Amino acid sequence: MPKKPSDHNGAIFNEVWTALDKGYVHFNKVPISWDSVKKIYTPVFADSINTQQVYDSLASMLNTMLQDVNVSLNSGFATSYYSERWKYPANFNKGLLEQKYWPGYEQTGGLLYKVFDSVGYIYYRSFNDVVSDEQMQVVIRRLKGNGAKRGVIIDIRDNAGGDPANMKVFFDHMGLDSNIGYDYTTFLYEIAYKKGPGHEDFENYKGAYTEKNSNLKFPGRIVVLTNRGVTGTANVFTSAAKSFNNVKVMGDTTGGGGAVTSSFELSNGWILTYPSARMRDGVGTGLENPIPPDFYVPMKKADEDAGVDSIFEAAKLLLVKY
Amino acid sequence: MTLHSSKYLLLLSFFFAAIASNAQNIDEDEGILSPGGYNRLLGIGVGATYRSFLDQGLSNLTYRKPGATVYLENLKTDDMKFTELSIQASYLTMQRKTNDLTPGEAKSFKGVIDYRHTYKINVLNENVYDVRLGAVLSGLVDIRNMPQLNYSAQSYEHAFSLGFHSKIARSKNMNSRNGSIIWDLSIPVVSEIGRPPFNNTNGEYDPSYTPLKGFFGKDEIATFGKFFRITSRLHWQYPLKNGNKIRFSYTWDYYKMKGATTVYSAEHTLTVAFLLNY
Repeated sequence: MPKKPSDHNGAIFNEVWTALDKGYVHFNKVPISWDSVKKIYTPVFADSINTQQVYDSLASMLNTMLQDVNVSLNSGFATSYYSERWKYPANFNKGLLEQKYWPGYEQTGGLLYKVFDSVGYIYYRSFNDVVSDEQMQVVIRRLKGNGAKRGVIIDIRDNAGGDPANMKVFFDHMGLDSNIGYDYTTFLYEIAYKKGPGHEDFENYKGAYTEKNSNLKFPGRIVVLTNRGVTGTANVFTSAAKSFNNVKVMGDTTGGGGAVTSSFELSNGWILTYPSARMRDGVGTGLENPIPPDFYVPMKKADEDAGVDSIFEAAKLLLVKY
Repeated sequence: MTLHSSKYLLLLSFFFAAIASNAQNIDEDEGILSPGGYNRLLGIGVGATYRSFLDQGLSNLTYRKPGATVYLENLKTDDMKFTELSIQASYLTMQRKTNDLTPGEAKSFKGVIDYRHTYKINVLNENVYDVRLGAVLSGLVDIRNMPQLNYSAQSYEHAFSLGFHSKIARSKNMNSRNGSIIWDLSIPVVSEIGRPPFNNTNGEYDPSYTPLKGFFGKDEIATFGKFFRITSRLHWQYPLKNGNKIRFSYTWDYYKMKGATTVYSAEHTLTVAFLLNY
C-alpha cells in the first residue's frame, strides 16, 4: 500500500492541479495554459498560510482561471462555485406564481401541476427531485383528464439540474402519441468520454437517444420555459428537448453548464468536482454553453407589478392560438 | 455487513471453537472416503477481516475497516491430487482518517471464488511433509460506493485469473491425533481484468447504459504489470470425530490493479472453519 500522501499546502495545490490536468475536459476554452497556472500559483501555497487561506486561494484560482459552473471545491466549511447568474435578469418570480397561478395545484413527486384553460402546466424545481415513470403517467393522465388538450408548459426556470435519471423519465413521455403513428427514436445529444490524461485524449463522440416507445405521451405540443437559472442537467434537458419536433423553448437564454461531472477526494478530505466528458448537440454546440430559446420572452416589469407572468402568458398564448 | 449479522458471525465462531476444544477428548476416526477414493470435506467458515484499499480513481486517501467474513469450501484429496473450491465474501462500510467536516465512507463488497488444483510432488520427507504444486482459477470482484463523490461515486475491479498454486503441509501430532500445519500460496499469472473508465464516469447521461455493460465495458487481458495479486494462507487443521476437521486460518490477500487508474487492496483475515467429511 503506498504511503499516505502529504497534506501540506503545496501538496494539496498539486493534487488539485494534477486532478484537473488529467481529468478536466474544457482546456480548449481556457485562455491561459495550465502549466502557466501552476507556475503562477505554486508560490501562493506556502506552508505559512492557514487552511482557510488555502481554500480561498484554490477557489480563487479555479473561478478565475476556469470560469466553469461545473467546477467546485468542497472543503466542508465552504463550497466554491463559479456563477454568472447575478449578471442577468431573474425572469422568474416564484412569489408571483405562488400567489396568482399555483393556487389549487396538484403535486405528484417532484412535479407541481395544474391546467389553465386547455393548457397543462408543470413546474419542476430541481432534477434532484425524483420523478418515477409511474408518477409521470399519473401526472399526464390527470392533465389529460382535466382538459389539457392543446399542450403542456414545462416550467424549469431556476432549475439548477440534478440527477439525469429524472431527465430520462421526461424524455420517455415526450414526442407524439404512438396511437397516431408518430413514435420514433429521437436523438438527444452526443458524449465524448476521456480515455487518458492528455488534454485532448477523448473517445469518439457517441450519440444518446430516446428509443421509440409506446409510453403515454404529454398531450399536444410542449413549451419549455427557461431562464439564466437553468444550468447543469436542466441545460442538457433544454437542448435535448429541442430535438423533439413538438417542443419549443421560451423565455431567456439558459445558464449553461450541461456536463458529465466527476468528483475526486484530496488527501485532506476536500472534494473537487469537475466536468469529465464533453457533450454536444446535433450541430456540434457544446452543452456547457448557454442555450438560447426559440422564442425570447423577458418578464416585463409592468406585467410583474400587475401579477402577470409574461413568459407563462406568452407560452399559453402560443399553445392556444397557434 | 450489519452490526447484528457481525455479532451472529462472531457467536458462530465461538460455537465452532467450542466444538474444537470439546473434540480433543474424542478418539480419532479417519472418516469416510468417496466412491472414487477421495477424502472429501465440505467447509463453512466465519471470521474476522481487516481490509484497506486505496482507489486512485476516487481518492488519495486509504480506507480501512475491520469486519466479518464468511466462506464456503469443498476440498477433495487423495494421495496424488488435491482440489479446493472456495467462495468468500465480505461487505464493509469503511472510513478514512481526516477532516471531520467532510466525513467520507466507502461501502465495499468483496467476493472471491477460487478453484485450486494441485498434484503431489516428492521433494521432502513424505512421512512429514505433503508438498503439492498446481494451478488456481480465481474470480475476484470488489464493488465500492463512496456517496460523497456524487455521480462518480461507484468504482469496482474484477479479475478472472489463471495462476499457480503451491501448498506445503506438515503433519503434526496433536493430542494423539494427526493434525497438520499448512501453508499455501496463490499468484495469478494471466487475468482478464476490469476497472472503471477514465474519470470514473458511470454513464448517467447515456440512456442505453446498463450497470452490467459498464462493469465489463473496459475489460482487458493483463499479467503482472497490470495486475499483481498474492494470496498467502496459513492453516492449523485439527481432526475431530468421524473424519471431520476444524481449521484455523490466517489469510493475507494483497493486490494491485492498474486500469485507467490504480487500486491497491490488502486484506488480513482470521477464520475458523468446520470441515464436514462426506
